[in-house]
Amino acid sequence: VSGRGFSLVLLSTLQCNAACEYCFETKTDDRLTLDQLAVIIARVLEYLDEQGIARLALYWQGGEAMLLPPSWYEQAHEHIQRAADAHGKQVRHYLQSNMLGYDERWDAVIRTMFGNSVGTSVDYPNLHRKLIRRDTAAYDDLWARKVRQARAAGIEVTAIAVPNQGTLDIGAERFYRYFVEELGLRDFQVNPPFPGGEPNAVKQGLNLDPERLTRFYLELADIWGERGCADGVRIGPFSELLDHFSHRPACLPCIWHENCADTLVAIDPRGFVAQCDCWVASYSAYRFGNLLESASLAALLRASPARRQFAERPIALVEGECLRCDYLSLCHGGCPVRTFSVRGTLFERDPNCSLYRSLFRHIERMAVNLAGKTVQTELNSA
Amino acid sequence: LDQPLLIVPDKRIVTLIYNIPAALLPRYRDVDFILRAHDPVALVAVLADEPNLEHLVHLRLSSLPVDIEPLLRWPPPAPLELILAAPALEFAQLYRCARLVDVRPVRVTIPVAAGFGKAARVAVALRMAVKLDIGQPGPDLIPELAEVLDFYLHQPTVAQPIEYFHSIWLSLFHRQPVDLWTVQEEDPAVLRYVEDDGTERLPGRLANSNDVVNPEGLVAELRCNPAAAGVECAACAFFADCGGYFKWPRRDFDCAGVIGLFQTLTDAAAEVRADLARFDADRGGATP
Repeated sequence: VSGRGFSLVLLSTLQCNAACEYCFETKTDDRLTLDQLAVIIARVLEYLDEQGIARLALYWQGGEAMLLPPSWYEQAHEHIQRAADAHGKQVRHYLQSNMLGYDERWDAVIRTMFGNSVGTSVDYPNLHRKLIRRDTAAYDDLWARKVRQARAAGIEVTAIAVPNQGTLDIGAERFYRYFVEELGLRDFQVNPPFPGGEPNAVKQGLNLDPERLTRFYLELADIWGERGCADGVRIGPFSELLDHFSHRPACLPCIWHENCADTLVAIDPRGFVAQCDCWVASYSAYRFGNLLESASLAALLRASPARRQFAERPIALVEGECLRCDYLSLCHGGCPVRTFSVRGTLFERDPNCSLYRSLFRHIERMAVNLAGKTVQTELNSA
Repeated sequence: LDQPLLIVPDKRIVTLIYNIPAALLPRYRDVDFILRAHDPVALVAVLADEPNLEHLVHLRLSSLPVDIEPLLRWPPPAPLELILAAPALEFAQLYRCARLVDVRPVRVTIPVAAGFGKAARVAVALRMAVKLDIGQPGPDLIPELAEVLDFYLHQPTVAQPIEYFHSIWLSLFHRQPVDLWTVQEEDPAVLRYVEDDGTERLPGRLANSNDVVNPEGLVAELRCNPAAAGVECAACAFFADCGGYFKWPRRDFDCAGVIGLFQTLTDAAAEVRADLARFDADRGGATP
């Protein structure tokens, strides 16, 4: 068995306790039962056996994952551990939650199952994240209270932020201060928005001016480089890119994998399998099949015409403009769902191509400058 | 900088390496061998029945595989060489093989024909090493070779060796000559190619040479007598690293183009040496 890994985004429910206007998932009342989980895990482990894969990263998401009780996750954890041990596999669990349903009853399972860490989401300013029939301020108040409570219990909270028009208006300096100094976050990532799922007016407005968005990213990277980087603050994707360009081991995000179809699938509580959470929840024509109705994940993936399209995507892209790109080795054409939600096809470059290239070039220069400073320090001390 | 070659050079001191078809494994299992097939299924089937893989140097697929799963599942991490036949057409298909890098070192051998640079770019982007099967490149191919050399030397995202550039650059940088016969794995003192029917022949460009009387001593003899390789060789500044390699099979090959590539490599090695010397001088230490 090799050291290769496989990632599974497992949506334990498609229910949600928030009403974020830009959400790319189509919500339902479906919840995964422990019996269904046992079937899914058995088939995933068989797939890992067949592929000679040793490690599974299991990303628990929703809907809102905390709508199932902590006791459900404790039982799920026990079952998965037993099954994985029987197959000689290592499993690591990660939890992504809006934290609105968090209370102290979660502490034990977060500690034992999720390494005492939770990933959440927060935007600044918050224009789109709302509680059901309430406004953004109510969401922010509840979220901040829950996060404070979790941190007081010793839980590490990381976050994903999606820039919006307001973010560009306030600028990178204010954004950085809010996240690092006011919220005290030491590890967060900034993901470019995309209009996935059912169209609505808010999603149409997610198409930010590319030049302003790029400027925001580069300024944020500079601020982080000057103030946070040496102090241990990690901002994705800057930290990973700086590691990469500094020739350190780097875990780049899935949008820049050689082919995400090789390393990742998402499964929803109905058993549907697709490329990732947005695809499985919102684009039924691109599902690969249903694992609760199929005896084998390998057979399901092999037989899926939709998956074949994902596998073919980088091949098609590299026959076009991507081939000449200096950063082909880093990006491989970018994210399929970002492309599809904007362009309506898989077979084009990521619409954030220009942003990515500017960012790669910027962080590459940052790495060179840091290396130069290290050399200079060494010379000065000689 | 010092990535090892896929084939361990020290092996030549001890024994020949045979490039054999999978079907002939039983006959060659007690000597060092490169095992080749067109199809991963055939390769893995033979390997599964073979208890002794002590002498396996690496695996070689003579054409791009349609299904790589058998090689993903076969556990021993033996290096794998993928052979492209038509690089300008096949380059994008390397993406189908991307996962192989997760389980074993992969090198792509790319014939230098128009459009080969696309395959070199994609292979490197997929973390695969590259070996250029350079032949005797005509003037029409020199600009593309120069472009790939520039890509190898100056593109910061290149983190894989592109041979022969890589080993020759290292040799020039360290001032420790290594000849192209060795780098290109065509030294007849080291390798034999075994045809599917069992016929043994000399490797690579020497395959059809009738005038090599002492294959084991060829490279050493040329080193002592450069003029034996070609008229130009005796006065060539790059003979130490070339060893007359480009004068086979056509002895009248015009080396002007490849000499330009050697010069670029020499300049690049000198530039890095000068940078390091300046650093050491600034630090008050000795130059390398």
